[in-house]
Amino acid sequence: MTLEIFLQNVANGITLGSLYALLAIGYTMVYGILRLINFAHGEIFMISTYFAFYGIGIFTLPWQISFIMAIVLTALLGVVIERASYRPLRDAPRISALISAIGVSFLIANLGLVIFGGRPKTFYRPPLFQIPIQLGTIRVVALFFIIPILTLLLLVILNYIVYRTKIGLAMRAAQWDFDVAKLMGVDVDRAISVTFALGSALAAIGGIMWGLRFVEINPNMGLFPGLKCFIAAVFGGIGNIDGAVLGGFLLGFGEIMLVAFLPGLAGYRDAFAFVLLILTLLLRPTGLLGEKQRVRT
Amino acid sequence: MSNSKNDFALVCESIGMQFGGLAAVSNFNLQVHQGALYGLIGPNGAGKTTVFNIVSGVLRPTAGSVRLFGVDTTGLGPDEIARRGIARTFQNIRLFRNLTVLENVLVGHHVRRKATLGEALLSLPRYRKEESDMMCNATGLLQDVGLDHVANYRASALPYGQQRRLEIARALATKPKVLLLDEPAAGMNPAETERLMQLILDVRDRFNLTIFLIEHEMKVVMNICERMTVLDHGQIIAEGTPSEIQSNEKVIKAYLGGGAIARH
Amino acid sequence: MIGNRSNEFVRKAGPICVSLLVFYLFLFWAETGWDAYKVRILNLSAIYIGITLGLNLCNGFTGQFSLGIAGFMAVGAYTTALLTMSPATKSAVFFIDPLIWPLNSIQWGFLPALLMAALVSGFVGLLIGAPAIRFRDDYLGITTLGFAEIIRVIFTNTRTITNGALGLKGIPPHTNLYWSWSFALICVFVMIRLTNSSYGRALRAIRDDEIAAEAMGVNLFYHKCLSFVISAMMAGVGGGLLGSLITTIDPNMFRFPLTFTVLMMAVLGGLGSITGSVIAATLVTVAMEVLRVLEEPRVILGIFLPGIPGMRMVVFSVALMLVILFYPKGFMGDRELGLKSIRAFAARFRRTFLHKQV
Repeated sequence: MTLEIFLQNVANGITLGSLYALLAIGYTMVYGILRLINFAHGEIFMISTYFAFYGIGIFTLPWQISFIMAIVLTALLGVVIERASYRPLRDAPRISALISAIGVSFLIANLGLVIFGGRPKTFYRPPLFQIPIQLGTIRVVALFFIIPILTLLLLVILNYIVYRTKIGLAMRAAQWDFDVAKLMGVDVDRAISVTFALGSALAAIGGIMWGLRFVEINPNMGLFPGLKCFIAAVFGGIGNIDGAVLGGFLLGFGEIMLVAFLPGLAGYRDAFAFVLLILTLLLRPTGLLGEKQRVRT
Repeated sequence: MSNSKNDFALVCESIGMQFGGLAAVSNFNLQVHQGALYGLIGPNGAGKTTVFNIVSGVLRPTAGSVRLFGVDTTGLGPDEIARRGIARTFQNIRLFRNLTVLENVLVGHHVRRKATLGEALLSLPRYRKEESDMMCNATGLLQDVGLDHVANYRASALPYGQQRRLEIARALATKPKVLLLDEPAAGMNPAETERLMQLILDVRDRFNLTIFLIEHEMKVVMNICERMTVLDHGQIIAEGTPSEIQSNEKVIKAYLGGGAIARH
Repeated sequence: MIGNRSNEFVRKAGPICVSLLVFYLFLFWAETGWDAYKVRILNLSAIYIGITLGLNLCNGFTGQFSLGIAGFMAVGAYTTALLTMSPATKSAVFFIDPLIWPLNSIQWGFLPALLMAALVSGFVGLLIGAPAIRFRDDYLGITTLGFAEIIRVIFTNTRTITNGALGLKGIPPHTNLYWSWSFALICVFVMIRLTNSSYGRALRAIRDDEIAAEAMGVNLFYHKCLSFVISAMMAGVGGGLLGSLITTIDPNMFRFPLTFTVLMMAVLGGLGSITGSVIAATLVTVAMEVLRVLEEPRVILGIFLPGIPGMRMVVFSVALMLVILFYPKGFMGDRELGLKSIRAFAARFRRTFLHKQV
């Protein structure tokens, strides 16, 4: 393997890892509060790319506005999904909520298929992201820098919100103990809505970046990246935002490197995440950064 | 091993249980004679339930050993310990809520079954015989605890006092030699408590059991237990007959007296 | 005495034998007289009944939320196909990478192949179940889903055994109504016997309270594995029948949407109800076919309506959502519909009626 190809793989790994990280945050935040695998999160991610796509394609908005609209709409969608399909089941057995989550996931994916059609669409790529940058012997486009930098920036902002603001305090209180938080006068419902809004917004940013990076979007693109990012969240330590970013990053990077160094295993790429999940759960169920006593009593 | 040790149904030898750095129970010793009705009392958080969980196999002690009729059972799982003859009830009732009252008791019998899964699926004679024996036995047990009239109700539909009785019947169905009762009178009114005490005594004699119970309700312990151990902060502070305990200074200070003063 | 007993036997088994006879006569009539499309739906219903019952045993009766059913179906389907295809077909199908010995030279009958499918998928179920059942609820779900995906990925890559992504074609179409409905009936029989036995009570006890079940001497590992393995076996045989019915299989058939379909059947019918599963599996299978019109372009009253792919699953997802939100126990909850419950209902009705008179 030449140095150029290696560096190209590193760049690919970092970008994919950053995208996984953005998605994994949403899973970890929701699981932290509701103890629920938000199966629909992958579909939220998928829908966001279509929001951005149609914003530009049909409503002929400038891409900046279209992207922002897509993020806002996706955040709203996340909140609506929680209201409609998780909130009524909050006191039901955990399995009911999980089935509901799976149901929503399939509903959105198939609605996507019905509305957008099954044929992949080509995402619009604003020239800003395509500016070539010469780095020694290799050339990459600006997008490869924008994605990881944006991810880190968002992580900083999110940490600020969670640890320095009032609503962040409410979210952490709800995560710590739902009922006690309620008794202490925390508006748990609002904290949960904000959690879904933030997680979905991050998924939307991830989705748009995904569209810019991989160009093709289709209604089935949500489920498996989604599941992988949940695994990344488990790997990093469920409920822990930094852990989700770390887990997402390592998973994306690992996937690319696995294929780069062991091309014979390229066909097994999609199983990599699941093997990681099973090993994590068997060997270190709290994940990399998970706190011991907080995980599943 | 000497013979005298085998006379004891249940022996705990210098048991210790550490949670992280915290000692929930330390140097706990206990000898319960066969056929005895033995009590374990102590203020909240004294480590009583921890002792129960160790004896019934839910927790593995960090030190010491448990012996059942002279056989070491330390570290065995709860199902294996149930098979060896210890049955228990729970402080916060744990019935199979969606099973009927009768089925709850039948689950207790499951551990003594001999028929294999294949025999059950094909409904072979040995399985049918066992099933009808179980049914007889379970119905009998329900009569003993006075629940035969609600045998086909869902367990969750029973009132509180009956749920406690059902837990005892279910435990008896495993054909135990030692019965552990975790606060059997918790939440009961005086009349129900009275009936429960009678039931415990009856059951001990009829099934030839050794009973080891945790209780908060002083009346129950003092009335029916022949001997008892008092636990405070994970340590044994006294051991003896009810009258000895009642006049024990340490106990009065740590438990009875302290509580009494606090209440007045 | 002996006479009494045989009388008893006749009294009990008689009606069952008669209804079985009538049922198989009906199948004979359908198999010979109905058009292929209807027969196909009837076959699919039977296969899904068996698979749904298997999923219900694990997810409903034992409370172990598994999402790996598609993986076990894949194992069963491939086992059956590879054992029943003729060596000639195999060498034609495996034109890129030849099939390994001894699979390339053997051809078994359908029954031994199905039995083998049950064994192999049961064994795979044990391999997956033994480590996975220590997890609960959602973690068990995602782990088993992961295992099923790993099976699929392996099948895509082991080209000398499974022919990879190309899949298998020309599987002998052994499946007919007798096979599929015998499978469904056996599954119903096993479920009734199992859930009403001491073992079944132990499984339901585990569902309600693991800690109490263990304290009553129920070995959690053994019983959970038991339900997991039986469930995997039913899925495996179902997969084998399905493969033989549609005669082509490939790894992508056995993805998560297939598990979703079966899960939906079990949830709609009621997790913990045998009759619920039977009814829901039949209804959903029929509805799947009936709603196919939504996805096909057609002209109604001179207006051209384009087909809308995905519309069926939208309908079913909405149905699932409505049931889980407003009627979380499904059609049947954990009750059964049978002579007994009808009789009980009649008795209750009579009782309340008499009470009112008094």
